[in-house]
Amino acid sequence: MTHLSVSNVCKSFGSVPVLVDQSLDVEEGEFVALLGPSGCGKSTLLQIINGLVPADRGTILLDGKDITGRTGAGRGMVFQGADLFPWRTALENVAFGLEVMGVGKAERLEQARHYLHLVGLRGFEEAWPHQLSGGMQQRVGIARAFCIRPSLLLMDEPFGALDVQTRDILQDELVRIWEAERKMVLFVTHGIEEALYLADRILVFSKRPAHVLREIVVPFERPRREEMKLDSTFLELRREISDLLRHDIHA
Amino acid sequence: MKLRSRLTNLLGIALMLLLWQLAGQNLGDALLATPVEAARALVATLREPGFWAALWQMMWQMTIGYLLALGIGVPLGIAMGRVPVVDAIVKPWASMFIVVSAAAVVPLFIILMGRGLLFSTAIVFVVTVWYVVVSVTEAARAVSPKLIDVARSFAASDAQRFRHVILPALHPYVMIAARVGFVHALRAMVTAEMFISAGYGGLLNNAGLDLSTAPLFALIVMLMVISLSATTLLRWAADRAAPWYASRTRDR
Repeated sequence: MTHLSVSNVCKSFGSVPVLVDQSLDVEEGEFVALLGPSGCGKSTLLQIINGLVPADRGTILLDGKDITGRTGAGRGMVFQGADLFPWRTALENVAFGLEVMGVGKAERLEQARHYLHLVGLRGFEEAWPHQLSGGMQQRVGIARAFCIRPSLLLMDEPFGALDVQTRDILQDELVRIWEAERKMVLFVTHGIEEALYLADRILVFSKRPAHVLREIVVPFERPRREEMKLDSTFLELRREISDLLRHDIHA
Repeated sequence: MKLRSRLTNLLGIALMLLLWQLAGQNLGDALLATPVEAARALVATLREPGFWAALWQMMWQMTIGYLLALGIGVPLGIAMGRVPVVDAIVKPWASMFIVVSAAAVVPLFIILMGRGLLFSTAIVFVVTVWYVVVSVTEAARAVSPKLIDVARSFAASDAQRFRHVILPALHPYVMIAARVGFVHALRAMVTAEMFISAGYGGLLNNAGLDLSTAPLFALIVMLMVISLSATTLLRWAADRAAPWYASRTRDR
């Protein structure tokens, strides 16, 4: 039984408090969106969970193990700009995590090929990152995170830099891949529609220092379909969250 | 497109040679030998065994100094770019020595080391190493912190981050430093040899005293040919070693 438990995380940058006593839990197979205005501290929370940024206080437990301040160990991260290694082919980028773990070449390339095909990039194994479009690069970024078979997937505004059409396509792809390989997901975004479309549960964050304004359990069935974006419940939830965020900004 | 830019190149060269020829015909070969005369002198020079001996002496002595400069300059540059303490200690020296030309230090080095192999390799080393250090330092400092974060998030150790991120990120820049460093090394070597009237620099000295400027031009043209072939070879090696970089810069 996998489980993520974040308790009482605090973080300040200099004298500016970014996170004050934040706690959250993610259950097995649950897709949780962290939604909030830009710069509110939700990305910092994600990086603390990833271990890239040290917390001032608080603990992070993954499957019962204390992973506070450590990277790796069951977590796969998808970065906003894909951030692929330009000197590695698409396939070698996907295999990176396994290479760091010491998996042999034949084995890791076979795994990487599987995930590269899964994200729809069959035939692009030997392409250099600069030869791929932004959307394709982010597909490689997603495959790279999946390839280490993490129990927790961390995504930091992964589609934020893409155009609307590409983002819609990649959202559907992500849902498809994730439904085939259910794992815990923490998805940072400032897109209300994106959060509603993808997540099981949304934590709506305030402006800085970030705290959870409201927790919303998304009532839609899976598999999710494009049409649900026109559903009246969807539109109502969207307006509700939008009002909530706007109120907070002016408060 | 490529063919067209090649043609434009050739046109530029032809135009230059034409101007040179016209100017040479007016000034006479004591002041400015024409390209035709220079070409004739070049053929004559290439037939002399003394020329090849001088060229060989210059090349192997220079190569020792050049390789030493790369062998020490590249690791030192990486250390300076990644470790602030090393940078703080070495940086002032690097920025002072980089402006010192070969000609300025040659007399001192002759007093200290005489006129042998030690002297010429030392000159080449001192002139080249700081150039390599400074360019590699800049490249090492500019390694994307984001990519280092990516490696960290996959739990890469310090050694793995060095091997999988810093080294490959530096690779193209080290190759560029090697290429430009070669030109610096060659220039320093010729200057040093001119001072002690030995090797290729000695030939240049003697040709300068000649009544015709044609042999001098022949020697200079040969230097250009050496420099161009070496940098072309180094570029080819760099493209083979870092195909991702070659492909990215070609597409641009």
